[in-house]
Amino acid sequence: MKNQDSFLPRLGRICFCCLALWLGSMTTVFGQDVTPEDDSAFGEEPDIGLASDPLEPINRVFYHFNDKVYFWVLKPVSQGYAYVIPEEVRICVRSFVKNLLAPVRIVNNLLQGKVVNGGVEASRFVVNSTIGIIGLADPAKDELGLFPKDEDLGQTLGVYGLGEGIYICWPFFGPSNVRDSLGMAGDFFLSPVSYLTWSDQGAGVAVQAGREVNDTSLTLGDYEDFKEAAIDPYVALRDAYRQYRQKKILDVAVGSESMYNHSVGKN
Amino acid sequence: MKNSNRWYLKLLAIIILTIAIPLMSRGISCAAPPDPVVFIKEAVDEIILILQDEKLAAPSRRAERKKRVVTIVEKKFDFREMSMRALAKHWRERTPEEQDRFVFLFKKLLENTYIAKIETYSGEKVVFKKTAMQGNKTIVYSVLVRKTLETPVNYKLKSNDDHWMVYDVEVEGVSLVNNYRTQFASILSKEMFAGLIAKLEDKVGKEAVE
Repeated sequence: MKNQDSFLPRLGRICFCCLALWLGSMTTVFGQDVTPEDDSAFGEEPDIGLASDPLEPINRVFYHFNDKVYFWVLKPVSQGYAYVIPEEVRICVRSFVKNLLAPVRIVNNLLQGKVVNGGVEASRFVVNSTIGIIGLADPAKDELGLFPKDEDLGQTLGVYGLGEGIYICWPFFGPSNVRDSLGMAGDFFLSPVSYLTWSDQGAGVAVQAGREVNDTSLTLGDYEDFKEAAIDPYVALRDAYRQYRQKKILDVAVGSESMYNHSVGKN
Repeated sequence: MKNSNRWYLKLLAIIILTIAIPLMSRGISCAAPPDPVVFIKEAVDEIILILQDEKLAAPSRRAERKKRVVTIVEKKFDFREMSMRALAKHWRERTPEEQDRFVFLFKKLLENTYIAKIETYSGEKVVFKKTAMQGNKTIVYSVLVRKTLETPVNYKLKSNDDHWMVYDVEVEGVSLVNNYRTQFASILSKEMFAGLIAKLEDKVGKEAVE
């Protein structure tokens, strides 16, 4: 009994320590603001160094596997789907799923100390779920100029300074690394689709596959273009993924308003 | 009636508040020297004009159309600078002839894969956002607006004498030149320079090799 009494204050103390640590790490996040002057985009040398890819032989096998899955299954199915379902409807389906994943973005914005961006995502969720009819449309962006602030746990870990680890090309999921795989696993708990998978595995997988087909139907030809331009598509994809994620972590990728005022500490 | 009206107003007020706070903290940004944007915009507008010209869209005039686009791009893109950056340290180890050959092939590769895309043009728009400058370098941020997708495209420019030249393009934050540099480095770590040239020749197709 006595043990239990002292447990709560101890828990409180642990929580306080965690909070202090978190706030401490926040200051380094605020200090990392990117200005045009030290933007690595102006640098002469490669920004991100060499890929750590000890699993390359296995990764290449999975890359080719995914490539075949795309050309033999995903692409024909998406083409058929696109033939039957009008483009406007497919865009609505994509917005709907994106809106459902708002918790992932809100939580990760807050975890990164981007309070304003978290508020933007929360506002987007409110507006799009109501005026945007359960997220089928995106009036928050189109009418109010509230652009999505895409954050996930992989980026959050990156902002906290966790390195990417080795490169991994997952079957079906495609390019990733140790950090982003951890992030995916964590974000899983914030995704409504996961809870569906929990109660009904078949339905969960079907929704995921459906989402993949729907999204692919809207970007048909992009992967083909990418492959066409590459000399070694495996290396090209690995590098593109690493660059893309690095820019996402630094929030310097997009030419939207989010550019140099992304963290609240600046203003 | 009155009650339900009030309920609606309250909800509206809450929504407005949740929106207004982030909106107010946004504001300020944009506003930069227009020159580099004008430079890029000129080219993009010219190209879109050519693509919209229905007379030029006829199959018999396809070649002419491509040539006109290539001419515009050549004025604005510094393919030699791009080649230097893509080869990085390997550039200096090559003879001038090898360098010229490489520039020629790299340019052909980019032309084939990117300028050939004009055949699939279907009303895409380019929206320019703003620029960032440092010394003689500038980044022009734009968004390629397709019906189904918006893609951020950043042009990196360098001023030679008194005119701008594009030396890199970033799509979704992925630098084209860096991406090729990684591929070239990977190939050159396993093969000789001649092997890379052979791969490029193979890629751009036989007709371009002569």
